[in-house]
Amino acid sequence: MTIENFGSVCSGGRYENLAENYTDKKLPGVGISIGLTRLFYKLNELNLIKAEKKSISDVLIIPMIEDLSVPIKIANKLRKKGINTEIYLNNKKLKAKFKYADKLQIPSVIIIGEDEIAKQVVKIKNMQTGEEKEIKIDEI
Amino acid sequence: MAKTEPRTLSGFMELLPSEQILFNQMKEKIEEVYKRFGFLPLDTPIIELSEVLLAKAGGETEKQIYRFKKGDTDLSLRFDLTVPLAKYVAKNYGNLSFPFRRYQIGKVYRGERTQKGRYREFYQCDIDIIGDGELDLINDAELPSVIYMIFTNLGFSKFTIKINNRKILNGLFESIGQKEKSEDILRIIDKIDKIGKETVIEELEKINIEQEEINRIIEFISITGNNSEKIEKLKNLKIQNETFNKGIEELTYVFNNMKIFGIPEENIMIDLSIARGLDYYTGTVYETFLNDYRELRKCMFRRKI
Repeated sequence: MTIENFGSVCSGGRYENLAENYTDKKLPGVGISIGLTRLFYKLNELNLIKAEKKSISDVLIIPMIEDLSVPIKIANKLRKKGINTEIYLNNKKLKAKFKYADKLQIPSVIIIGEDEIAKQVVKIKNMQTGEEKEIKIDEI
Repeated sequence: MAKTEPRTLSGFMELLPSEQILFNQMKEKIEEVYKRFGFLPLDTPIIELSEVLLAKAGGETEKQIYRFKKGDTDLSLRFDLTVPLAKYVAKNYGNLSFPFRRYQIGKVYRGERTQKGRYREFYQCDIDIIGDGELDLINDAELPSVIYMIFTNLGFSKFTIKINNRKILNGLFESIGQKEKSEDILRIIDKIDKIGKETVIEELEKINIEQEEINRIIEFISITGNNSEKIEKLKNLKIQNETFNKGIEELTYVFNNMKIFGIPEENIMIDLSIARGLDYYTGTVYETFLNDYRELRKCMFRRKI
């Protein structure tokens, strides 16, 4: 059974002379084309795909201090390691910052406040399990 | 202050971030497989000189072109990625290595009548292999294996790559003395899945094809069976026409080699009604169809593509 009205998702074939309008050279070829926009539209319409990923960040850094130099340095380190990292760079209440992480379903947040700076640690929270642990800044 | 309503033109896709992430994941999967087969990247301009882009176009295509003037220069938006490729290969012939294998993923523009699911701006993801003077038939068997890997990686398993060969059809028309009308006939039978057999017959009658000839066309495109049986039945038609027999030979060769390239036979279907609308195809033609989508609900699409 083929999906009704879905139509062909890609097509192509063999042609004898590709560029006869531009050159005397004989250039035979074979090609295939996927119409991605239409494929995506159809899969979406039939509920065959679901856009569930709301962010591509692995980590959101939530600073709770005014001096952002430590959060920025930590972000630099993580990004160098290939971890997609964003910092919440807007002065809002902690609750709003967490809500942002929640809404975008970012898997982990790193919290950096006065206490953490004093102890030279950061708090990492797994947003799925709620589990929290402290890691030394040097060890990131 | 009066505000302008923030609108997007109809026929132009614009997605919310989560949808865009999904779209890009699909695009990246496709690109990844193109690279896996050693295709070279190419990016040509969206805008070209009209005289270049429209060197061949005519009829329907020309009507759909976005064409405009900037100063005195007559410009057009590309309507596919094949014409820019032709220009590119002709222009850079001396600097390319042949067979030239290139992929290109980009937006193209067609001013089609807007309706649901029809886009005026859309992505095409193309691969082509261009030979210098000649290109061995084995290439026709490799391309579907690229498509096979893409749809497999996207999480489909039940899809069908349909193949046919234009020489078979053209040979058939030659043998019934309808070579001049072959384009019209092809256009009509290409629609058989959409409009059904009866309407195909009516339309063939409209262009003055004799009843006996219609019967032979219908008999031919109704050949059934598995792939090997279809090939046997084609041979058994014993049509004495060189083009026709060359077409069978090519189709058999491409089919056999597709399996060697790793496509399971259940994903391949020889379909003698596939003709492809565009008249520049001269041999192998392909179409791919999704068969059963229920599997998708269960599989990876939901999490990571």
